[in-house]
Amino acid sequence: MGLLEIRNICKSYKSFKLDHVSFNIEKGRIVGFIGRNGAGKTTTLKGIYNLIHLDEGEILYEGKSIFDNELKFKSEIGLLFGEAEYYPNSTIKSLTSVTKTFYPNWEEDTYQKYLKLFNLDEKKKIKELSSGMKVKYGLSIALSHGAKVLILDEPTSGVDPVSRDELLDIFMDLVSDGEHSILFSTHVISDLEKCADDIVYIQNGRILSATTVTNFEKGYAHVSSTKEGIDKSLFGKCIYYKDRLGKFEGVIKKEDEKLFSDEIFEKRKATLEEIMVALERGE
Amino acid sequence: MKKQIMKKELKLCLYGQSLVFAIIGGLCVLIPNWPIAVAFIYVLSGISVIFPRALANRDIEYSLILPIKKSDVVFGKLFVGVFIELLAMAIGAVCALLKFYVFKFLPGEGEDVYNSVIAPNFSVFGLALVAFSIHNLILYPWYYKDPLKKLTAPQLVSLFGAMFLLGAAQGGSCFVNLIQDPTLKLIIDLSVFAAGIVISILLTWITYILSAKNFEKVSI
Repeated sequence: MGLLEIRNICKSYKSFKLDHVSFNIEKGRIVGFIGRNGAGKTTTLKGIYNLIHLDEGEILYEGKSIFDNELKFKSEIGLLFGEAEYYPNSTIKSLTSVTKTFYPNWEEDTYQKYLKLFNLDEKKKIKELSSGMKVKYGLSIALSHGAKVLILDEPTSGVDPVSRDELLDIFMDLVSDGEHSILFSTHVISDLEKCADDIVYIQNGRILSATTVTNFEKGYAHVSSTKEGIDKSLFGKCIYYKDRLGKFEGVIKKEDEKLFSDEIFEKRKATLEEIMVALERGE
Repeated sequence: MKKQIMKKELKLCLYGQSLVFAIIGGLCVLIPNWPIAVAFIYVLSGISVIFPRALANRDIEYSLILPIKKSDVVFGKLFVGVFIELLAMAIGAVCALLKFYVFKFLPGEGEDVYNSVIAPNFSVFGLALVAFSIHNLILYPWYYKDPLKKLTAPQLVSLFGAMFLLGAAQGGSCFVNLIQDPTLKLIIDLSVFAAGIVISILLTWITYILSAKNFEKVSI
């Protein structure tokens, strides 16, 4: 049983359908939620947090439906939208003084600890914070009200590489106690390679894969060759390939690897980014 | 949780502009020989600014992330509106008392203030309360049908509707002032005031129920 279980959630819009989305989030895991823009990531996250009315499906937190325990669920989950900027003209101090009153489990010491750790100045206005600082502030709030699961929508988008790396380290530190879990959506695939344990891949509103990163990567291989005389019929076995200026490269399913001879092709593990590009563009 | 929501609304969502309109609306009661119900239109302008500011501050998204019910979000926003209205009423009531007990000693003011049919009475406050409540009844349930949309239509309709009603309230108040028998006048005046309070409470409750019902259906 996962800490958070998403079971067959569906939501139909005029031009888009979230179609029986299911996956689990286990304790102590970082789950990367990937897919193209418009694939359904944000809709799924909003559905999990009951910000949209789902047509079907259920969401279980610690085995119980969130719809029956919504307030408990919301007090134990931290939701952060990457670009969200609430009350931009308020100071951190003023916004926190209001926010914390809603959480019975608020721990002021923990909050102060994170402010210090993240170098957040309480006198600063929200609009004066950089993208990375906003995420850190959101994390400080979530962790101080005892959130066990952090749901983060594009937390690293718009964040510079150094701050992004810093945030990913923070994520890894958080889950290392085995009690916290993180679900974060992103299209910055390199972030996942650095820190995700599990991957949930959504395409056109449907879950293409929900497994560990290792298992996901194991299913694919990268092949390349600069040699002449490649059997063109092999191109059909590629999920996606490029054959340009005498250089061939493609992503294939692992089970097709034996079709590509070692004499002609160089083979290696495909990166997450290569797999994602192949799955999207190979269509 | 209601206490926390009220605190949140007062601290984050009550803007200086709204307070200034409420204070001006209340202070306008001091203007000699002026229809005071009309002054309360300023107060409603102060309420109108709450909604676009809430949109700019992403107040709806912030509120929905908190562990509170959607109906509590509605309660908070209705609370801040009613707070502004009652604040203006309270300032207006103090100004009306000043008009009676202080201004009558000012040279050249006494007759105008005391005898005019537009002098403030209990009725004008009771009827203005009803006008405020009808304004809220139009504005809030409409707003909560789609709270992430700019609010021009509900704002305008509720504001113009309330302007008409406040005009009617002034007329009703003048009618009470025309009653010659002081005892009968006082009885009718207080009755209109009491009825205004009861109707206003009832309409505010209906506003809350309808707004919460509409907001429940909204996906963000």
